[in-house]
Amino acid sequence: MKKITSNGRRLGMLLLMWSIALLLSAQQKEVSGKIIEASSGESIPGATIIIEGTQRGVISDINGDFSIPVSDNETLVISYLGYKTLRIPVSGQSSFLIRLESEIISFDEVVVIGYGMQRKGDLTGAISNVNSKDFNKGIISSPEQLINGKVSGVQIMSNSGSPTAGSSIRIRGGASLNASNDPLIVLDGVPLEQGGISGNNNNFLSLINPNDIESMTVLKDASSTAIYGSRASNGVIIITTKKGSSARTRVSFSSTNSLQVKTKLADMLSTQEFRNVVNNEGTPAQRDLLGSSNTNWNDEIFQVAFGTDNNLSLSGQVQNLPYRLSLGYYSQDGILKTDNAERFTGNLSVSPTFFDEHLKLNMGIKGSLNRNQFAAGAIWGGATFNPTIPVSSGSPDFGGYTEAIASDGTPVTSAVINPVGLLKQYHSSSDVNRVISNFDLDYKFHFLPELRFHTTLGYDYAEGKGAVFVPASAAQFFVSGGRDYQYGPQKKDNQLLTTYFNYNNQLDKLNSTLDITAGYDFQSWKSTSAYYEVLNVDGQVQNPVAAQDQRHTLLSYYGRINYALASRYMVTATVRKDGTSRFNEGNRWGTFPSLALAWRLSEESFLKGLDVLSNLKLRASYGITGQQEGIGNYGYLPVYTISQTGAQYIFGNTPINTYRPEAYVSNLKWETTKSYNYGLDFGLFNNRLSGAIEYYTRQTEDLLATVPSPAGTNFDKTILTNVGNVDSEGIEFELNATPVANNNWTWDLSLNASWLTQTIKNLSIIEGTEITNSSAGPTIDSYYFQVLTEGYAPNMFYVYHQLYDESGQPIEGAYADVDGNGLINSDDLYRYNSPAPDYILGFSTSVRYKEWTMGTSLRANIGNYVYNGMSMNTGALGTMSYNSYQLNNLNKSYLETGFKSRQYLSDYYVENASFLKMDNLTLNYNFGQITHFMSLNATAMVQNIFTITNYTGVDPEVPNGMDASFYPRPRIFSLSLGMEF
Amino acid sequence: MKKILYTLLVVGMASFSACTDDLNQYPNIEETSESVYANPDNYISALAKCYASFVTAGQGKGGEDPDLSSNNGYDYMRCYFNMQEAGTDEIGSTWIEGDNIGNLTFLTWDAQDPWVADMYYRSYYSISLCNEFLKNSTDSKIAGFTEAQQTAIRTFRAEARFLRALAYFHAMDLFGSVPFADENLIGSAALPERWEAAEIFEFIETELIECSAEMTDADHTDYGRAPRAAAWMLLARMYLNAATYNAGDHYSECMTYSQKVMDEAICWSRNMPNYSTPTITSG
Repeated sequence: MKKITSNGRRLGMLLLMWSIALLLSAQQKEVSGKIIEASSGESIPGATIIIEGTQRGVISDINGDFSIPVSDNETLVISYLGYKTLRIPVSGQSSFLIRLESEIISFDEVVVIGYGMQRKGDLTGAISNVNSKDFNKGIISSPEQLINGKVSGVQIMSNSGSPTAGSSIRIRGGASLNASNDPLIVLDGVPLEQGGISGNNNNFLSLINPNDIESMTVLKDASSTAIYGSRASNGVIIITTKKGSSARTRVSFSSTNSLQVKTKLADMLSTQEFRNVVNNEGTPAQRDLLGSSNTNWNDEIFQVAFGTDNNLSLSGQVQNLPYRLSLGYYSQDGILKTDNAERFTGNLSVSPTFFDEHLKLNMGIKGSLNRNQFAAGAIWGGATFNPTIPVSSGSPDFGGYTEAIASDGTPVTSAVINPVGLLKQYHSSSDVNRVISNFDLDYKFHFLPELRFHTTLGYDYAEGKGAVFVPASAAQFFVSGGRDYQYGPQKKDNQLLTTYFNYNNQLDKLNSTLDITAGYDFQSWKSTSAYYEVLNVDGQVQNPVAAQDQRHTLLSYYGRINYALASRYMVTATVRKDGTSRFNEGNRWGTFPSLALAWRLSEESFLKGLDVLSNLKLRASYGITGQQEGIGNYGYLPVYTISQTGAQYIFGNTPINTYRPEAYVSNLKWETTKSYNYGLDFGLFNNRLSGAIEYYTRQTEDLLATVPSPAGTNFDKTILTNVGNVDSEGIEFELNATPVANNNWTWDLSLNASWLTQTIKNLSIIEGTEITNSSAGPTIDSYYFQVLTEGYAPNMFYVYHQLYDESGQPIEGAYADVDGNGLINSDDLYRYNSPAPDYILGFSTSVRYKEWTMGTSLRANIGNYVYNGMSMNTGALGTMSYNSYQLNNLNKSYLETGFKSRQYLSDYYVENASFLKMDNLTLNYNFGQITHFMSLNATAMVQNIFTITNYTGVDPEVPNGMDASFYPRPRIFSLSLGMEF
Repeated sequence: MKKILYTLLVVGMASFSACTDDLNQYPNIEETSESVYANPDNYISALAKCYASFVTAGQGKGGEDPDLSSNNGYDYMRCYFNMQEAGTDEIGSTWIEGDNIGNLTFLTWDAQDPWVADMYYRSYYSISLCNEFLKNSTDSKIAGFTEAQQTAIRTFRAEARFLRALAYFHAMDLFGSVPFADENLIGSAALPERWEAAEIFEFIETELIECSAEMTDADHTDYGRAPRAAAWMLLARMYLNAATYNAGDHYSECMTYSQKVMDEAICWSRNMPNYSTPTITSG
């Protein structure tokens, strides 16, 4: 029933969008023309002729001729790669001779930076900008995936293959250890809330429709990020959404529909192999638990998943009011059954101007409704459930699913639950709504037009709630009588006021330009969630969950000076002073300065004669940035938490709710990062070959890290505090080239490469004390596998060195005596590689032949290691049975190791997970104008095409280097149609 | 029109002076130590946490909202039981692999073992809770309360000292020479010093003798709270094993305090509430 409504809704959305799109059209007459090269007079085939403000257009034929239906008041826009674009009003003319002049690629293109814009040629910092035309294609669940693999120094990793999972984004690897490493994301001038919300904990950014995004700018070095002060250490991503143009009404519609299939899964024993192991090595009691079925549990829990993404946008101008309106509908099933994410988005922006453009307003409102269906964690069961027993037991108990039943007739405590029953009997959905609005006012003073006042009011509001239902008969909550409860709403409220003055003047006498910005920001965050109770089906309270109310505030003053002399020498200086509510009064304010210099060598007279060189620029910058995310709002205060009902202590006859003091560090302060960046930009052959090289070093001080709390000093085993320093350095390289561009062929390619290394310099709570190893990363059965140690890279695997017999078989429990004292104990653990790659490479290319375009992008990580948790945790005979009622399948690694017990800390399971992935392959055909009112574009795509790796687990690219019950990333086949009217 | 603009500008400018008071943010639901200890009624809740830390693992039912952010999630007593028993013939675990007590069972544990590490931190967690309570219930801090309230809090204080001594006893018994932290250290930046087992022994001994004098007798003790005989019992137990802690021979004191416990003649049922059988529930 639920399925039908969901599909019905999808169909309805589609039809609605189509019909709106088709309503709009116009009336024209036919004009014709010829396009020639201005200097030689040769005809230019393959040039694009588009009616301005529409997507109606044609391409000139082999003789450079074209004809197109137009209205008299329309304007032709003629473009061809490497030539200047021309605008020619029709004005009653019916035939044209058009001369195109070759173009020197302009450095006047502006790039969005923090609190302003800057000409590309004047940039002094390490900034990468990706525009919508270069975004990744295909079904894109969340904005960050648009630029995955496109920017050097940026690592974007989807957390899993589930549509409800988000991504982690790391710019230059992040600067912190345990505090947040997420970059600051600024959407149309509004710094967004970090983290998630009830009902969408992992994928908050996905509430922004990727199709509404015009460009994404990544600020990497301290000189470009320091204007964001205390939130800048991990880099900044500025997202600019599409705005209305002042041209005529333009309607576009696109629809992408996809099928996702499962790829590699955990490598478990086949049914026959499993039978052999149980029969040969199991106890008689275990042999008795073998059934006669042959169930492929993975086939039972995974499916071919359907996804659709549809977008309709309308832009143009009403009177003096440029607008853009867009609607989007996205729905994606997961390859794990019952998993789904659905999103409906609406986006309106209007940008009127007044008083001869002295006053510009821009109002944007983006809304989204997100509905998720969360699948139960059936991946473990899919891998390990006994393949010799059937899905259905034949009895009506426990929903009819085969379960491990104890002698008293109830499901065995802590048994693995039938994964199919787990999925089918678990109903967890959430509804999340988010509205992000911004209002910009930009006023150029009448008496001094060089001076502007800009203010932005931003508001980001989100609300999330959800419901969980599990029938009382289901094994998963059998003892407590199922689940039936709602949670939320959690409300998140983020308000922003930005005000700044900007003075920009060409000082002709001094042959200089000067740009000064000074401003003030106020931003406050509030997150509340209501008290709720986890109830069973009978309404009995299973667990009360406390209400939450978290707030914090940031006040900031900032300024920037950009000065350029003779377009050759450039200086940028910024400073920001931030005050946060998260620290005590003495530590509350921090100042974050930066300075950058650049020299455009190519503008110097001694290089000006060099025609081949179109750009050569040297850059250097230094800056101090801060970091205060990932720590609590009240971490410096001695907070007391009252216990919930069910966690009281009884005195006499009275249950007493207890007061617990929370761990705190009263002198908590910013983590600060000092960084140097040196860059070289170059462009050759009219910038058909261009690129940049960056080298940077970074020292993070007063590092916010979670380290063991000395016993007896605080109220936790570990504590987040300012403890140490981490140094990092890296090299980044970007190259963009257009080797071929002619009538029929265009070939673009771009390549980026990053090298990064990090070292922990100091990690002691008290200076001069002995070095401590601080456990880090994910755990299995409360074993940690990674460690933070002074003098080493962060999060290195901390394991025993496995010993092997003569035939190469690992010997159970035999490890190298690293310290040579004759004992094997935790002093023999050693640091063995880290999950962070040494090199990250990205490559994309596209080839156009006439109307066909084929593109692909590949990504590689080299030197990253993964702990194959699935192999360890299911790879010992002991894991075949945790209780007397159930058998569990084993990992194929058991056949190699023959381990009796799990060898948690053996380096046998730490594997080199270097990989090369082809992320996507697209084939596009541009039909052009197919009727007089519509142009059409069709694309076929495959995403996640192949992975080349020696890693034996599910996927070499897993969060935190831990492969445990990983939800596999699907391979996605999709077809996309784009229409413009 | 321009006027309106400039008015807008002035308003915009005015917002520059938004007050820095907004930087003073305090918890809206949770309390701070200041607010908790301002109210004499809250002391019993803070003491109850000292007690509860021996048997529960968090502030939510079944150990939800755990006390320690990075451990197994098991409570003090389960850790203590496993530490004491898993390596002996007294139990035969049917869930060695699942419960991960192989190291304890086969006597191959070290500091990395989750049960060992958790037991260590759980005992110091209880010690810290008691220290925090003692730090906030000194005579000067409670001077503003009524006489009756002060009397009650002094008894709480004695019980907190007993609980701290109990946790120190477990730490000393299991780990030997251990760090020492009292109420003067908690909340300061100082690091605890490592004390020899014999020094810890001496501290526990002094504490128990002192606090037992201020604790109630069994007849006047609510269910769930420790009477003075509990302190004596702990003394007797520690004296019995004193040589193990390099504290010499204390058999006669052991006899003295054992006798005192028997003289107190605690009857299990006397102060029990009307529960037919005591039950222990878990998650």
